[in-house]
Amino acid sequence: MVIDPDTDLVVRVGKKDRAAAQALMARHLPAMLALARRMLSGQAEAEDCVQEAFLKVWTHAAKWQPGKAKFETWLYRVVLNQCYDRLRKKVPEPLEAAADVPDGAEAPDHGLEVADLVQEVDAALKTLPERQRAAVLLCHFQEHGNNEAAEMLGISVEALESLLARGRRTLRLKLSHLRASE
Amino acid sequence: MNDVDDTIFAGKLLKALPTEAVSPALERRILADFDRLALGHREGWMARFAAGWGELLWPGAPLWQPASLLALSLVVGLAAGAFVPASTTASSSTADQSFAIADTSSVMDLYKDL
Repeated sequence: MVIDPDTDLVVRVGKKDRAAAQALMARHLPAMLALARRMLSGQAEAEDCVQEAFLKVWTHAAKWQPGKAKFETWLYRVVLNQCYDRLRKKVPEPLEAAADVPDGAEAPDHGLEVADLVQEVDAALKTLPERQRAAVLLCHFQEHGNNEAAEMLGISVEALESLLARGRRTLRLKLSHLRASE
Repeated sequence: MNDVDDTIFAGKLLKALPTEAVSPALERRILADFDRLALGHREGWMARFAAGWGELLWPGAPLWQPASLLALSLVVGLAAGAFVPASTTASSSTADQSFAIADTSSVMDLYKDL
Protein backbone atom coordinates (compact mmCIF):
# COMPACT_ATOMS: atom_id res chain seq x y z
CA MET A 1 0.00 0.00 0.00
CA VAL A 2 1.46 3.35 -1.08
CA ILE A 3 0.96 6.35 1.21
CA ASP A 4 0.12 9.19 -1.10
CA PRO A 5 -0.48 12.74 0.17
CA ASP A 6 -2.42 13.54 -3.02
CA THR A 7 -5.02 10.77 -2.78
CA ASP A 8 -7.74 12.90 -1.23
CA LEU A 9 -7.28 15.69 -3.76
CA VAL A 10 -7.26 13.34 -6.74
CA VAL A 11 -10.46 11.63 -5.56
CA ARG A 12 -12.13 15.03 -5.16
CA VAL A 13 -10.92 16.10 -8.62
CA GLY A 14 -12.56 12.92 -9.94
CA LYS A 15 -15.82 14.24 -8.47
CA LYS A 16 -15.25 17.52 -10.33
CA ASP A 17 -14.33 19.58 -7.24
CA ARG A 18 -12.76 22.79 -8.60
CA ALA A 19 -11.05 23.75 -5.32
CA ALA A 20 -9.31 20.37 -5.26
CA ALA A 21 -8.20 20.84 -8.87
CA GLN A 22 -6.75 24.23 -7.94
CA ALA A 23 -4.94 22.80 -4.90
CA LEU A 24 -3.52 19.87 -6.88
CA MET A 25 -2.32 22.24 -9.58
CA ALA A 26 -0.71 24.59 -7.05
CA ARG A 27 1.12 21.64 -5.49
CA HIS A 28 2.55 20.12 -8.68
CA LEU A 29 2.50 22.65 -11.50
CA PRO A 30 5.75 24.51 -10.64
CA ALA A 31 7.87 21.33 -10.56
CA MET A 32 6.27 19.92 -13.72
CA LEU A 33 6.76 23.18 -15.60
CA ALA A 34 10.39 23.42 -14.47
CA LEU A 35 11.07 19.88 -15.68
CA ALA A 36 9.33 20.43 -19.02
CA ARG A 37 11.14 23.74 -19.46
CA ARG A 38 14.54 22.01 -19.12
CA MET A 39 13.53 19.03 -21.25
CA LEU A 40 12.13 21.14 -24.10
CA SER A 41 13.40 24.18 -25.89
CA GLY A 42 11.04 26.99 -24.93
CA GLN A 43 8.68 28.29 -22.28
CA ALA A 44 5.63 28.17 -24.59
CA GLU A 45 6.28 24.55 -25.52
CA ALA A 46 6.80 23.61 -21.87
CA GLU A 47 3.52 25.31 -20.93
CA ASP A 48 1.62 23.46 -23.66
CA CYS A 49 3.19 20.23 -22.45
CA VAL A 50 2.10 20.64 -18.81
CA GLN A 51 -1.34 21.84 -19.89
CA GLU A 52 -1.80 18.60 -21.81
CA ALA A 53 -0.53 16.62 -18.83
CA PHE A 54 -3.05 18.28 -16.50
CA LEU A 55 -5.80 17.67 -19.04
CA LYS A 56 -4.95 13.99 -18.66
CA VAL A 57 -5.17 14.38 -14.89
CA TRP A 58 -8.64 15.92 -15.12
CA THR A 59 -9.77 13.21 -17.54
CA HIS A 60 -8.39 10.24 -15.60
CA ALA A 61 -8.94 11.40 -12.01
CA ALA A 62 -12.35 9.70 -11.75
CA LYS A 63 -10.73 6.35 -12.59
CA TRP A 64 -7.83 6.84 -10.15
CA GLN A 65 -7.31 3.88 -7.82
CA PRO A 66 -5.90 5.06 -4.49
CA GLY A 67 -3.09 2.96 -3.02
CA LYS A 68 -1.94 1.53 -6.34
CA ALA A 69 0.73 4.09 -7.25
CA LYS A 70 1.77 7.54 -6.13
CA PHE A 71 -0.02 10.27 -8.01
CA GLU A 72 3.15 12.37 -8.28
CA THR A 73 5.05 9.48 -9.87
CA TRP A 74 2.27 8.98 -12.41
CA LEU A 75 2.15 12.71 -13.15
CA TYR A 76 5.92 12.83 -13.73
CA ARG A 77 5.56 9.94 -16.17
CA VAL A 78 2.78 11.73 -18.04
CA VAL A 79 4.84 14.92 -18.31
CA LEU A 80 7.96 13.04 -19.40
CA ASN A 81 6.02 11.10 -22.04
CA GLN A 82 4.60 14.36 -23.34
CA CYS A 83 8.16 15.73 -23.52
CA TYR A 84 9.46 12.62 -25.33
CA ASP A 85 6.61 12.85 -27.86
CA ARG A 86 7.39 16.48 -28.56
CA LEU A 87 11.13 15.84 -28.84
CA ARG A 88 10.56 12.99 -31.31
CA LYS A 89 8.28 15.10 -33.49
CA LYS A 90 10.88 17.84 -33.69
CA VAL A 91 13.08 18.41 -36.68
CA PRO A 92 16.75 18.06 -35.65
CA GLU A 93 18.44 21.38 -34.93
CA PRO A 94 20.78 22.72 -37.58
CA LEU A 95 24.48 22.13 -37.04
CA GLU A 96 25.16 25.81 -36.33
CA ALA A 97 22.91 25.70 -33.27
CA ALA A 98 24.59 22.54 -32.01
CA ALA A 99 27.97 24.16 -32.47
CA ASP A 100 27.02 26.82 -29.92
CA VAL A 101 27.74 24.36 -27.13
CA PRO A 102 31.36 24.70 -26.05
CA ASP A 103 33.28 21.45 -25.91
CA GLY A 104 35.43 22.49 -22.98
CA ALA A 105 38.68 22.70 -24.91
CA GLU A 106 38.76 26.44 -24.74
CA ALA A 107 39.15 28.45 -21.54
CA PRO A 108 36.18 30.84 -21.49
CA ASP A 109 35.71 34.25 -20.06
CA HIS A 110 35.72 33.96 -16.28
CA GLY A 111 33.18 36.69 -15.85
CA LEU A 112 30.25 34.69 -17.12
CA GLU A 113 26.94 36.27 -16.33
CA VAL A 114 24.35 34.09 -14.65
CA ALA A 115 22.17 34.22 -17.77
CA ASP A 116 25.06 33.00 -19.90
CA LEU A 117 25.74 30.21 -17.44
CA VAL A 118 22.11 29.11 -17.52
CA GLN A 119 22.14 29.23 -21.29
CA GLU A 120 25.30 27.13 -21.46
CA VAL A 121 23.98 24.53 -19.04
CA ASP A 122 20.70 24.42 -20.93
CA ALA A 123 22.50 23.98 -24.23
CA ALA A 124 24.65 21.19 -22.78
CA LEU A 125 21.55 19.48 -21.39
CA LYS A 126 19.95 19.60 -24.83
CA THR A 127 22.81 17.58 -26.26
CA LEU A 128 22.02 14.66 -23.93
CA PRO A 129 19.78 11.85 -25.19
CA GLU A 130 16.25 12.36 -23.82
CA ARG A 131 16.35 9.65 -21.13
CA GLN A 132 19.76 10.72 -19.85
CA ARG A 133 18.50 14.29 -19.72
CA ALA A 134 15.41 13.24 -17.81
CA ALA A 135 17.46 11.18 -15.34
CA VAL A 136 19.94 14.00 -14.70
CA LEU A 137 17.17 16.56 -14.27
CA LEU A 138 15.12 14.41 -11.90
CA CYS A 139 18.09 13.60 -9.66
CA HIS A 140 20.18 16.79 -9.77
CA PHE A 141 17.77 19.59 -10.72
CA GLN A 142 14.72 18.37 -8.84
CA GLU A 143 16.71 16.40 -6.25
CA HIS A 144 14.65 13.22 -6.24
CA GLY A 145 16.18 10.06 -4.83
CA ASN A 146 17.34 7.31 -7.18
CA ASN A 147 14.48 4.95 -6.29
CA GLU A 148 11.90 7.65 -6.85
CA ALA A 149 13.45 8.82 -10.12
CA ALA A 150 13.73 5.25 -11.41
CA GLU A 151 10.02 4.77 -10.71
CA MET A 152 9.19 8.02 -12.49
CA LEU A 153 11.14 6.89 -15.53
CA GLY A 154 9.73 3.37 -15.32
CA ILE A 155 13.17 1.73 -15.21
CA SER A 156 15.31 -0.15 -12.66
CA VAL A 157 17.60 1.70 -10.26
CA GLU A 158 20.62 0.13 -12.00
CA ALA A 159 19.43 1.43 -15.37
CA LEU A 160 18.92 4.87 -13.84
CA GLU A 161 22.42 4.87 -12.37
CA SER A 162 23.84 3.99 -15.76
CA LEU A 163 21.89 6.81 -17.42
CA LEU A 164 23.05 9.21 -14.70
CA ALA A 165 26.70 8.23 -15.02
CA ARG A 166 26.69 8.75 -18.78
CA GLY A 167 24.73 11.98 -18.55
CA ARG A 168 26.96 13.48 -15.86
CA ARG A 169 30.09 12.51 -17.78
CA THR A 170 28.85 14.21 -20.96
CA LEU A 171 27.84 17.31 -19.03
CA ARG A 172 31.24 17.54 -17.37
CA LEU A 173 33.00 17.20 -20.73
CA LYS A 174 30.78 19.84 -22.33
CA LEU A 175 31.04 22.24 -19.42
CA SER A 176 34.51 21.56 -18.02
CA HIS A 177 35.53 25.16 -18.74
CA LEU A 178 33.03 26.27 -16.09
CA ARG A 179 34.92 24.26 -13.50
CA ALA A 180 37.94 26.46 -14.10
CA SER A 181 35.83 29.55 -13.50
CA GLU A 182 34.32 28.28 -10.20
CA MET B 1 38.12 12.83 -12.58
CA ASN B 2 35.77 10.11 -11.41
CA ASP B 3 32.08 9.47 -10.97
CA VAL B 4 31.98 11.28 -7.61
CA ASP B 5 33.46 14.41 -9.21
CA ASP B 6 30.92 14.19 -12.05
CA THR B 7 28.12 13.90 -9.50
CA ILE B 8 29.27 16.91 -7.51
CA PHE B 9 29.81 18.94 -10.66
CA ALA B 10 26.40 18.12 -12.14
CA GLY B 11 24.72 18.70 -8.78
CA LYS B 12 26.29 22.15 -8.35
CA LEU B 13 25.42 23.27 -11.88
CA LEU B 14 21.88 21.98 -12.03
CA LYS B 15 20.89 23.14 -8.57
CA ALA B 16 21.92 26.63 -9.66
CA LEU B 17 19.43 26.61 -12.54
CA PRO B 18 16.53 28.97 -11.93
CA THR B 19 12.93 27.80 -11.82
CA GLU B 20 10.61 29.98 -13.84
CA ALA B 21 7.47 31.23 -12.12
CA VAL B 22 4.17 29.80 -13.27
CA SER B 23 2.26 32.40 -15.25
CA PRO B 24 -1.32 33.17 -14.16
CA ALA B 25 -2.34 32.72 -17.81
CA LEU B 26 -1.18 29.11 -17.74
CA GLU B 27 -3.07 28.47 -14.49
CA ARG B 28 -6.20 29.96 -16.08
CA ARG B 29 -5.80 27.78 -19.19
CA ILE B 30 -5.45 24.62 -17.11
CA LEU B 31 -8.44 25.49 -14.92
CA ALA B 32 -10.48 26.34 -18.02
CA ASP B 33 -9.81 22.80 -19.25
CA PHE B 34 -11.04 21.50 -15.90
CA ASP B 35 -14.19 23.67 -16.03
CA ARG B 36 -14.96 22.54 -19.57
CA LEU B 37 -14.66 18.88 -18.58
CA ALA B 38 -16.67 19.39 -15.39
CA LEU B 39 -19.45 21.09 -17.40
CA GLY B 40 -19.39 18.25 -19.92
CA HIS B 41 -19.72 15.80 -17.00
CA ARG B 42 -22.74 17.63 -15.58
CA GLU B 43 -24.44 17.89 -18.97
CA GLY B 44 -23.32 14.40 -19.91
CA TRP B 45 -26.73 12.72 -19.83
CA MET B 46 -28.31 15.42 -22.02
CA ALA B 47 -25.50 15.23 -24.52
CA ARG B 48 -25.72 11.43 -24.58
CA PHE B 49 -29.51 11.64 -25.11
CA ALA B 50 -29.13 14.11 -27.98
CA ALA B 51 -26.32 12.07 -29.50
CA GLY B 52 -28.47 8.92 -29.27
CA TRP B 53 -31.30 10.57 -31.20
CA GLY B 54 -28.84 12.04 -33.67
CA GLU B 55 -27.38 8.60 -34.31
CA LEU B 56 -30.86 7.15 -34.81
CA LEU B 57 -31.88 9.86 -37.29
CA TRP B 58 -28.64 10.17 -39.18
CA PRO B 59 -26.12 7.44 -38.29
CA GLY B 60 -22.48 8.41 -38.35
CA ALA B 61 -23.10 12.14 -38.81
CA PRO B 62 -22.08 14.81 -36.32
CA LEU B 63 -24.88 16.00 -34.07
CA TRP B 64 -25.25 19.39 -35.79
CA GLN B 65 -26.41 17.76 -39.04
CA PRO B 66 -29.59 16.10 -37.73
CA ALA B 67 -30.13 19.11 -35.46
CA SER B 68 -30.03 21.54 -38.39
CA LEU B 69 -32.23 19.23 -40.47
CA LEU B 70 -34.82 19.20 -37.69
CA ALA B 71 -34.61 22.98 -37.39
CA LEU B 72 -35.09 23.36 -41.16
CA SER B 73 -38.08 21.01 -41.06
CA LEU B 74 -39.57 23.12 -38.29
CA VAL B 75 -39.15 26.32 -40.33
CA VAL B 76 -40.70 24.71 -43.43
CA GLY B 77 -43.57 23.38 -41.31
CA LEU B 78 -44.24 26.78 -39.73
CA ALA B 79 -44.10 28.50 -43.13
CA ALA B 80 -46.51 25.97 -44.57
CA GLY B 81 -48.78 26.43 -41.58
CA ALA B 82 -48.80 30.15 -42.14
CA PHE B 83 -49.50 30.11 -45.92
CA VAL B 84 -51.41 26.94 -46.82
CA PRO B 85 -54.68 27.82 -44.98
CA ALA B 86 -54.79 31.18 -46.80
CA SER B 87 -54.60 29.55 -50.26
CA THR B 88 -57.26 26.94 -49.29
CA THR B 89 -59.66 29.77 -48.32
CA ALA B 90 -58.99 31.49 -51.65
CA SER B 91 -59.80 28.39 -53.73
CA SER B 92 -62.95 27.63 -51.78
CA SER B 93 -64.18 31.20 -52.24
CA THR B 94 -63.58 30.86 -56.02
CA ALA B 95 -65.73 27.72 -56.02
CA ASP B 96 -68.43 29.56 -54.10
CA GLN B 97 -68.28 32.39 -56.66
CA SER B 98 -68.74 29.96 -59.60
CA PHE B 99 -71.76 28.44 -57.91
CA ALA B 100 -73.12 31.92 -57.36
CA ILE B 101 -72.65 32.81 -61.06
CA ALA B 102 -74.33 29.61 -62.14
CA ASP B 103 -77.24 30.42 -59.91
CA THR B 104 -77.78 33.84 -61.42
CA SER B 105 -80.88 34.33 -63.52
CA SER B 106 -78.93 35.38 -66.67
CA VAL B 107 -77.30 31.97 -66.93
CA MET B 108 -80.43 30.12 -66.04
CA ASP B 109 -82.30 32.12 -68.68
CA LEU B 110 -80.29 30.41 -71.46
CA TYR B 111 -81.78 27.07 -70.56
CA LYS B 112 -85.32 28.13 -69.76
CA ASP B 113 -86.64 27.22 -73.22
CA LEU B 114 -85.11 23.76 -73.32
